[in-house]
Amino acid sequence: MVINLAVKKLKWILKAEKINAVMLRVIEMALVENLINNGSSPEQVLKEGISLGKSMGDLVFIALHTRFDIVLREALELPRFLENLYVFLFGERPSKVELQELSGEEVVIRIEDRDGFPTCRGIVSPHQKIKFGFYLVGIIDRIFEILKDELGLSEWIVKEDKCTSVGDESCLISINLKFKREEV
Amino acid sequence: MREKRTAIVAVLSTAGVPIASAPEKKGDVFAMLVYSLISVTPTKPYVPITLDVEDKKLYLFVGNKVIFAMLSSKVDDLREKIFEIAEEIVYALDKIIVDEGIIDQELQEKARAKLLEGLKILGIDVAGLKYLYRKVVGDMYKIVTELTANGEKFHSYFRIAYFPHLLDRSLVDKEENLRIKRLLELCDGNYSLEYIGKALGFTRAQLYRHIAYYIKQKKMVLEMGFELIA
Repeated sequence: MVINLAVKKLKWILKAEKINAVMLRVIEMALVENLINNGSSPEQVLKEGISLGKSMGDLVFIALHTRFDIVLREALELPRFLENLYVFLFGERPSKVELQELSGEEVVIRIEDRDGFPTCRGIVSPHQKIKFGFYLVGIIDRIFEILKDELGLSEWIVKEDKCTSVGDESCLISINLKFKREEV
Repeated sequence: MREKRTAIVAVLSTAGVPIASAPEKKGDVFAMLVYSLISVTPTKPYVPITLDVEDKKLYLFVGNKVIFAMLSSKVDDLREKIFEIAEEIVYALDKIIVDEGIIDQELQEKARAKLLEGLKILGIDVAGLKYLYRKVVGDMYKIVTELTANGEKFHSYFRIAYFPHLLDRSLVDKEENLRIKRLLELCDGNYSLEYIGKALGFTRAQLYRHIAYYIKQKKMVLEMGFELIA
């Protein structure tokens, strides 16, 4: 079992196509530069970045399932699902993914990386409102939209609470989920 | 598996007014695209023209007051017959139309009857036409944006969509689960993910997992293309 897992991981390291984090950061910075220099406000830049992330969401969801066989049966499996997504995108685990039940029909999931998300490391944002995890926020938002029927979601809000690019000690995304019935 | 012969056909005036189309009531955008294309493709009247549009052919026959346009694939063996029918329709309407900017109801009905009769002679499945419409018109839009300077005016009609294309069609015959079989049938590069999901009642997540399975096996690719916004 352990050997199988090790072989699987080694195969992933050697064979899987991966996003080059440096390239991703360069694209993000170019996007911000381009939008700001063309007159967009920091709020518009953030909105555009998240919107691009959402457009990536469908393809990321499909690509994720070409690597992992994941079927979500309940909300409790979401932290593992999100951790797999993070590993799939960046080839490393976040420092923490935790689920907190707020009520019978509402949970919050937090994804935290104490080194900063790979999309944000080494970047100093030009504005407090531009947190560089915007692609990841958009991708996750779209993935919950894709999963909403299966999970019985009535509402979901994804936001980047902290980002090292604006001086926070870590990067943190929180996902608030409200369920229609007793799925929690 | 034999693929059905399908086509989008429109008859319009040289002033750009749609006269008749198949599928019915869906031909307006196609007619506008044809009109834009013809405006930058100067031609003498009554000369058959064939243009390549992706993997399809656009057959054009332009009269003095009327334009016949048919976009189709796998019908090139019928080329002569298509132009015979086009010629008949265009000549007949050219004689009747007084003002190409005003097309009355009676004339529209006559033109439509002639068009349907022609499609029947060609053996084109009229009932199946509407299902391909969004992608086919999207392909046409791509050509118009490449060839004309006014492609932008159509921008709000189209969006980017993903069209799954099964590379090994023998998998359709081998599949025993009827729902998956139907899914694979639709994965021929002509139907968008959104259309397939709605048509077969899959949730987005279910559909994507099935698509991911075949992509993983390297039996399917996702093609990016233009689609008419429904």
